[in-house]
Amino acid sequence: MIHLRGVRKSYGALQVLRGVDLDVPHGQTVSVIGPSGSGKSTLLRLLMMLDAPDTGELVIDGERPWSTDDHGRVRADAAQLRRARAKVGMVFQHFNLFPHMSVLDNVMEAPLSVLGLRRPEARDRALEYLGQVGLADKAQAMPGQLSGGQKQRVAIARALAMQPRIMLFDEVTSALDPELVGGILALLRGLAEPQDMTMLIVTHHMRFAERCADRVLFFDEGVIAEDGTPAELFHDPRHERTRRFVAAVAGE
Amino acid sequence: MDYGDLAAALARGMWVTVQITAGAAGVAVVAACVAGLARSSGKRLLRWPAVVYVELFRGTSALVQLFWIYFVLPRFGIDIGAMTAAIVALGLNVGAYGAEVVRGAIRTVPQGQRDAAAALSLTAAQTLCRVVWPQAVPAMLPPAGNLAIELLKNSALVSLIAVTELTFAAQLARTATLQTSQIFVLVLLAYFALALCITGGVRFLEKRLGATT
Amino acid sequence: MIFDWAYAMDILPRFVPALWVTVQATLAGMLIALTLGMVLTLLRRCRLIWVRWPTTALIEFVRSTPLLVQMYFMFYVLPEAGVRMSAFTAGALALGLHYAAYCAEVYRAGLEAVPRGQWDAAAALNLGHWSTLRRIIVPQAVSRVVPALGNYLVAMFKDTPLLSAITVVELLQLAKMIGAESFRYVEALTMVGVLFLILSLGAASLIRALERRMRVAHA
Repeated sequence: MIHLRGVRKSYGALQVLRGVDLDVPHGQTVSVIGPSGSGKSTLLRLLMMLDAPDTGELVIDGERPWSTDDHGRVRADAAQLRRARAKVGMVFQHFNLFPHMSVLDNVMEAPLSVLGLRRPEARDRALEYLGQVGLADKAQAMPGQLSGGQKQRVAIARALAMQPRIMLFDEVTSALDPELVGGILALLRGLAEPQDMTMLIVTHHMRFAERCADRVLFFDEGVIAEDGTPAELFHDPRHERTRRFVAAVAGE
Repeated sequence: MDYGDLAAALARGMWVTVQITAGAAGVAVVAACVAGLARSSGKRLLRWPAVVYVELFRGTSALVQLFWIYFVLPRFGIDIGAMTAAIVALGLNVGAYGAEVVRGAIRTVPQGQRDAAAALSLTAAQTLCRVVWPQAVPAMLPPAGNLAIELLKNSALVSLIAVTELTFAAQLARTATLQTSQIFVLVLLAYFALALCITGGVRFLEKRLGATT
Repeated sequence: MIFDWAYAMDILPRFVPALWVTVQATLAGMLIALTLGMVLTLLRRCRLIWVRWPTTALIEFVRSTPLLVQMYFMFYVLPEAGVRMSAFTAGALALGLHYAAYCAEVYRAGLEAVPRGQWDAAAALNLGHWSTLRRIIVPQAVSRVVPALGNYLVAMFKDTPLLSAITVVELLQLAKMIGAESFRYVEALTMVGVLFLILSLGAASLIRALERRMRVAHA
């Protein structure tokens, strides 16, 4: 489903990813942990194809969105990029709801203008997913009237409404008040259960990472420093730095 | 009129343009500081005249102001030459916009700074000169640079009261040589060069002030 | 008597057609500025550097040279190149071109003020570049752009007296004509000043009201 080989990415002089190899099979739920600045969010931006890798191979469900031209520069083929992006959805740390649209319009926008659904269908679909995240009654509200937790639920419904095969969650609880975190994590757990969607979840909540994921990636200094089951990573890590990180975060 | 004469005439005009711009900038700085501070003042007697000045000069056209000062003031017995009228009119016009820049910059200084000064028993004048003003100046520079360029552009208006600055020199040369397009391209480039000098100067000042604060 | 009120009231009706010319020039100029400004903004966002760079240079050039000289350029130089037009058209074009450069800056600032995350979210939903601009970015930029454009509309209105320099009979030119025929510059010029003051202060307060309403609608 996801296939990365030798992926590198720099922003200016800063090397954020220094050669990432990763294969994720369909239906797997993967937690991504690691210190800030270790490249977790960058990995998700590359998987969403918001940024192109500098070098390396990236295949999303059989689609190769980037190609390298004769000068070694990475270029997008617009049609391929569109096909690949259709398979992926992403939820952001700061929600990124469209402030000028109602909750319903936020969720309906892409099904209407990208998938070409008709208005009633798009509306039904939007209400269905808003129901799933428990916000059907807020359909007419504007984003500014919602709490952070509600905004993040809308953002999740908005991504789900495109029915992606892969869902990316980028620290989706980091901008929330502590009392709202539990609800969002429970929602994610519910999404992970049916096993019909591949999920990558960047998170600081170790207990959540341990309980809900099939697999955990520990990122450090731009590489996957350790890759294993939750039991291995949290209780019997192979590397000293993994153990130190887990211990430090657990102590918080 | 050969090319040498033409170039000399335009260069003379350019020098007058520089003089007008510099003179008016001086008038504008004084007017802007006085009106801006008066408008920020708590005393109504200071604030109201400043409001009238700013709104009057921002609400009417620079060219109308220039004509008024040049044609109307003499009828009230105030006879000033075209050059002085130009410097005063342009200076007061830009000064009104500058007053708003000064007022805005003073407002960006946090109240906590004033409170701290008061806690140290500084007088109002000391608070203004030693605490508020030095912190406000860096915020004034970028908009002041824009106003300086507006002033340079407005100096072309002075040609309409027959001061022989760059634009008027161009008009004279045009009627003398009929080489309209070359002359106007040259004049536009000359103004652009002067504007670049202003931009560069303001950048330099910003860097200097940025280094000390 | 230095200022003759009766005479001032006498000449007031003569300003009506001149005021109409002024208003027409402002509206025509603004229409050109809004459209041309948009074209300049698009060219500056172009991926090709040899389109982007000259556009940026042109905008800078137009913004830092006098409107009056640009007006002369339109009025004296273009006819030499075979483009024939009336003084009014040349003037409106010059106003439009000059303010198009300012509008392009306003549009750019408005677009740049929309947070990066909005572009990311739109891309993650697979919206194309144009629908992202049209549906997501531009609607959010409008509330920032409209007040700034309003201010430039007023500024352009105050620049219309420059048309007198290329023989268009707008308010200032009329005042000069009245002054020349009666030697009463005081009344004529003062009336023009008062007209400008009333109209531009009125327009400015309208813009402020509009700005306030847009802010409320967005909150």
